[in-house]
Amino acid sequence: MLIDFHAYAGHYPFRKLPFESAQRVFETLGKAGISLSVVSNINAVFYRDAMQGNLELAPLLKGIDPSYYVTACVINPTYPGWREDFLVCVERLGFRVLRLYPAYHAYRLGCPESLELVDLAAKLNVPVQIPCALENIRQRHWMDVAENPGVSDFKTLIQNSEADIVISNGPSEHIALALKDATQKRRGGVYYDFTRLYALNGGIKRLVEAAGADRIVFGSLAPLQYIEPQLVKLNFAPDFVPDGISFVDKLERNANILLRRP
Amino acid sequence: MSDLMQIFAENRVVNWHEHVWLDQSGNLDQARLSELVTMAKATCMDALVCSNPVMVPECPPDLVRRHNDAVFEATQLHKGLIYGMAFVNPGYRLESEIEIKRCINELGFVGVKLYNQYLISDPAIRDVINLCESLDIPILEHSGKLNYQPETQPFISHGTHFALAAAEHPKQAFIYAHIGGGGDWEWSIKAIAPCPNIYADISGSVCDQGMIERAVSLLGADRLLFGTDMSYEAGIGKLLGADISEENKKTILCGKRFERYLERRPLHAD
Repeated sequence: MLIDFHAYAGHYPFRKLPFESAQRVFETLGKAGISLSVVSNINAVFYRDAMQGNLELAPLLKGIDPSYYVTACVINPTYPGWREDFLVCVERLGFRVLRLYPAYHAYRLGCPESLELVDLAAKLNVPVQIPCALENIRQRHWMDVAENPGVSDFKTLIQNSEADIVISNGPSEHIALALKDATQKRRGGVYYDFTRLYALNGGIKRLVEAAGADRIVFGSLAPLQYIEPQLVKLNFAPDFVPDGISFVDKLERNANILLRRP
Repeated sequence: MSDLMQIFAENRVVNWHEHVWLDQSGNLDQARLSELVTMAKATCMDALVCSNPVMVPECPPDLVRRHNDAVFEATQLHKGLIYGMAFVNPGYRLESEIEIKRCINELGFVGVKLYNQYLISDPAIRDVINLCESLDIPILEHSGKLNYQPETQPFISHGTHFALAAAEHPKQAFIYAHIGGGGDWEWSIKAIAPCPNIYADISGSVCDQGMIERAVSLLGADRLLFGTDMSYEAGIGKLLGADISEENKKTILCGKRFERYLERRPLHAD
């Protein structure tokens, strides 16, 4: 069973996506063999009030079998009412992952509001996912943001919080190496996907060596990106997990642990 | 071979954008070449068209020659798999002409690779383009419409530059390098679409959903070439994931309209 920790529904403002509906996105995910996806609304990144995007997600997902997805909410901790919004998302609306977009919402991961939100997520047993980017920085629209969170941002966050953190679509190998010492001293885990790494040149193997096989998840970035490049990586990922469990099974187990699933 | 890779296993695959490199002592980097060949075999590639560009503004002719010699060495070590593209710095006009003739006529290379030393539309490189036209060889130019600051490659060519060059040299075949290599690929595809003598390779790490479909829609599959540019799974995966016909995928994989460049020089010079 392949669990995708990084999928989206909704409209992307800077490029027309081929899939106009969440149904099409999930059809494509299903065809690719992905049986469960963590999904949020892209609109929540771009609305001034992210909560309006979170509230839109359920209608977007209408008609899709709920066993195919886990919902992620987007919270901007510098926006009024964020605490109440997050509590509503988790306690009333059933969101099980928190996604942060510090570059889009103009704050640093280590700022007091961000740390307070991440602390609250830890208390509520909600993993915190930080997508480094939605699109490659070299092609960004002139109205898009011009930076991604960097290693020092992540370092500050993980040194000052205990939540499980998932760093997605970033230079994972580089970040994992830089955070290696800091991650070992904390209670929550720091997880990575390999969206921007390759198996054939040894990149995924090096990520496993830097972060540990227990700290890797699968992320497709659908529908912003093709899913197949990630599947090709899995196809060529060597079975290097030391405890005899296949890499794909390991990915599933790690995602289940993060999602608090049996 | 898994089902996922079936179309690669069952069809001729020509990779029009790959590289070999020099090691720190200035010789062909055998370790990276070995890795390249291993990856190519694992993914069922039948031909790799490789260059070795100098990726800094200053690249004098002797350095250029050394880079091309390394490509030639790779073609000799892997005959029938690796084909060469001659890199030149077109600012050295006379030396470039000599080097292109050496690479094509003596070393059996199949085309010319230009990097970002000059825009493809710069009049300074007209003579190099004219020579390529007379030799009937394609030009693969490093490309991208970069939208970020500070500008790190002031002379990188994008679609609009290609369109200008193509209009001036309507008989010359240009390859817009790596539509997935970073930069606004929508801009460039749209800019080159009206120019039938501009082709594009699909290599690069960017795997935006819809990229290949849009390219096929505007250029046609027979103006697209398969490539990886060191991002193997990205190049393969975006083609597999594209919502285009199987026939179009095969057309891109074999680079039908470019096959003649490889067929014309099946044997490398010894």
